[in-house]
Parts: sequence; C-alpha cells; structure tokens
Amino acid sequence: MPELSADVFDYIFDYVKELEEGKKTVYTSITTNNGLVLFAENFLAQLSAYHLDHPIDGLNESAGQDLRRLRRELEGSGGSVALQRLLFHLEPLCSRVPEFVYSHAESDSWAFHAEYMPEFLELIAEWATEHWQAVDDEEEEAAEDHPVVVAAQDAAFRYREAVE
Amino acid sequence: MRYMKSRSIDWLPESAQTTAHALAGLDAVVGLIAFGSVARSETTQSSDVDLLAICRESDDLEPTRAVARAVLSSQPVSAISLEVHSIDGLERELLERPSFGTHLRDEGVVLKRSAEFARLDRTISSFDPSPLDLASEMADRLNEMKGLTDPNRMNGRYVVGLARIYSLARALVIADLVRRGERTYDWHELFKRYADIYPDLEGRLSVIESLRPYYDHVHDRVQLSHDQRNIRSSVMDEAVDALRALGDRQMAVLNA
Repeated sequence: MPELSADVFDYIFDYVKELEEGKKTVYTSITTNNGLVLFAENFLAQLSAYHLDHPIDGLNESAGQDLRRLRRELEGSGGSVALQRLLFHLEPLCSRVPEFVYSHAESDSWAFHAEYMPEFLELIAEWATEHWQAVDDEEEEAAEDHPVVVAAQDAAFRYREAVE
Repeated sequence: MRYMKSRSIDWLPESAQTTAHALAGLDAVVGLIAFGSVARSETTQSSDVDLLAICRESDDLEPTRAVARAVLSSQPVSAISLEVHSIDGLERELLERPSFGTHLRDEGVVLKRSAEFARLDRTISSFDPSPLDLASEMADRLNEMKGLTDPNRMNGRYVVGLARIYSLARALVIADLVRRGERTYDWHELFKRYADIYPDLEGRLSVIESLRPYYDHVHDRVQLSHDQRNIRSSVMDEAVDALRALGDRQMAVLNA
C-alpha cells in the first residue's frame, strides 16, 4: 500500500536552504511555483490519496469542501485527532493560496511564511508521529525511525529555525 | 492621453456579473479589469472569466477578498478566476511579470475606473517592456523548473505536477513570444505559434499542450475521473522531458 513519501519534504529543505542563504525571506512574494506551495499541494495530494482514500489534487474551493467533509467524518467516527487538526489547518489554505499568489503584499507573504507554515509543519510532524507509532506498535518498531517521521520532524524544526 | 478600453459590467457573461458588481461596488476597489478568453470572446466549456480587482492599498486586500469569497461561494465554482492586487502590488507585478502587463495592455477591458486608477491605467495602456525585461522574466521562470522535475517528490500523484508543468511552460512560451513582439495569449494558438518558430520542439510542445486538462482540474474548472487522475510515471517523465527541452532552448536563447 503506498504511503506519503519522505521525499516530499525536500521542498521544505530546499526552501530552508534558500532562506538561510538569504535568497528568500518571509516577505518573498508567493508564486504558484513557490517551493512551499508545491510542498503543500503535493503533500495534500499524497495524504488524501494514501491516507484518506479520497484523492485531492490542487488547492481550490472544492478541495476545501472535501477536506471539511473528511474532517467531519473523522470527527464523527472518532478518528485521529491529530489528523483532524491537520485537515482543519489545511482547509483555509485552499482559498488562501489562490488569493496570495502574485499579490506581492508583504502582509500576505509574512502570514504565509511566518505564521501558517511553521504550524502546518508541526501539525504534520504530530500526525506522522502518531500515525506511524500506531502502525509500528503492531510491528514492534520505533516510529521515530520511520523516514517520514524523521523528515517531518526535521522539516518542522529547521523551517522554524530559518524563519525566526 | 491613452487609456485601456472599457465596457459595462453587463457585457460580462451573466455568471460573472454578480461578483463583478459586488467588487465594483466597493470603495476600496479603484479598478476592475476583465481579460483572457472572455475579453477575446473565445469562451469554451472550461473557460472562466478572468477578473483583476485593484485595491487602493494592501490593507484593502483582505476585506475585498472576503467580499469576493462570500459572493463566489454562492456562484458556480468554475465561473471566475479572480486576482486581487493593490495598486503597489500590481505595479510590482508588472515589473516582475512584464508579459502579464502586455496581456492586460492587449486584452484588458476596464469594468470600473476611478480617478485613483487613472495613472496605472495609462501605465498599462502604454506598457512596453524591453526585451531585457522579458528575458529577466524568462530567467526567473526557468529557475522555477527545479521544483517540477523530480517525480519522486510526487510519489505517484502526478496531477498537480503536470498542471504546474503546463502553466510554467505556457508562461515561458508567452514571455518569449512577447519578447519577439508577438501578441498571442490564447493557450492553443500560442503553442502552435511557438512550434512554427521552433519546429524541432513541436512534439514537446504538443506533450505540454496535452496537459491542459490537469491544469483545468487543479483550478476547479473541470473534474477528471478517478482513472484519469491515476497517471503512469511514463506520462510524468515525458512531461518533465518536454519542460526540460523547452527550458534548454530558452536558456540557449537567453545566453545568445
């Protein structure tokens, strides 16, 4: 069964490098091919297809509605709280990214880089740890060694360091 | 004094009029422009109405978007593609994406024009970027290729990547055509025109043009079926190769 790939976090690691080198800042304008936007789109595509059994391709109004419905279903069935929190955080991104791109407003760029993304990455790390812990309990392996958990935690930590 | 051409909002397709009226009624919106296929009178089933709302300042962006969100949520999902800029933001966009400026100059139709928009209106109507400005846009866009050429990051879910390859390639082609003094913005026409200039790229351009349905899906304009969204890795590889070939050609053009 396919699952989220650790490689998707390479978008974040590349971006962190650019932040550290000063090629990007928290005020850099957001374009459709901005690495953080590509990360969010590809993360959602894999999460929805492989872990929610409902593929969502793109950040748009329909995607936001789908996420809302999936979160309520999870809530109703007593599903993972970490996943519910992650989906709740993703919902507004579906309307915000199309609004942010090319606006060149520093307030938009700052909100996305310094407010939205750090929390997004931490919620991903929280969900990934919980998810692979549950999987690995059955196999008596340590979740913290799973490549996705390692990458998610590393991405959350390094990104926050880079924007602070 | 030259200004962009203007029309009444009633000229728009009915599906877009409510949103356009709501935006035009806001004091913070100093200019409202329609462009794209509706301005060319070439609407198709997947066409949306491209609208550009220009706010007085960046503090007006969020309240304007909130109004647009409220109106759009009661409209058909695919009817409108809206960009909201401040005057400063649009001026910066014209500097960074000059081909967008020529697009507005050649096809833009003003639906609301206030006195505060007059200066920008004149700027757009006489917008004439230098070949160097357009080469700089091409170079910036070529830098964006790297995020799209590693299928491992997409891990079997290729719709978004294919959509982004399509939009980046189209933007690269438009920028180079504008740099050559051509005014072609229709997505089908511009790939044909570019293939006329570079016949050896025709197959690659055809691959890129075939990605349009993924772009429309990602932008909520059409819904692809489950099977259509399960894409073989060879399709992604072919698209990456096509983008690379286009990028290599444009890099050679810029270096020359």
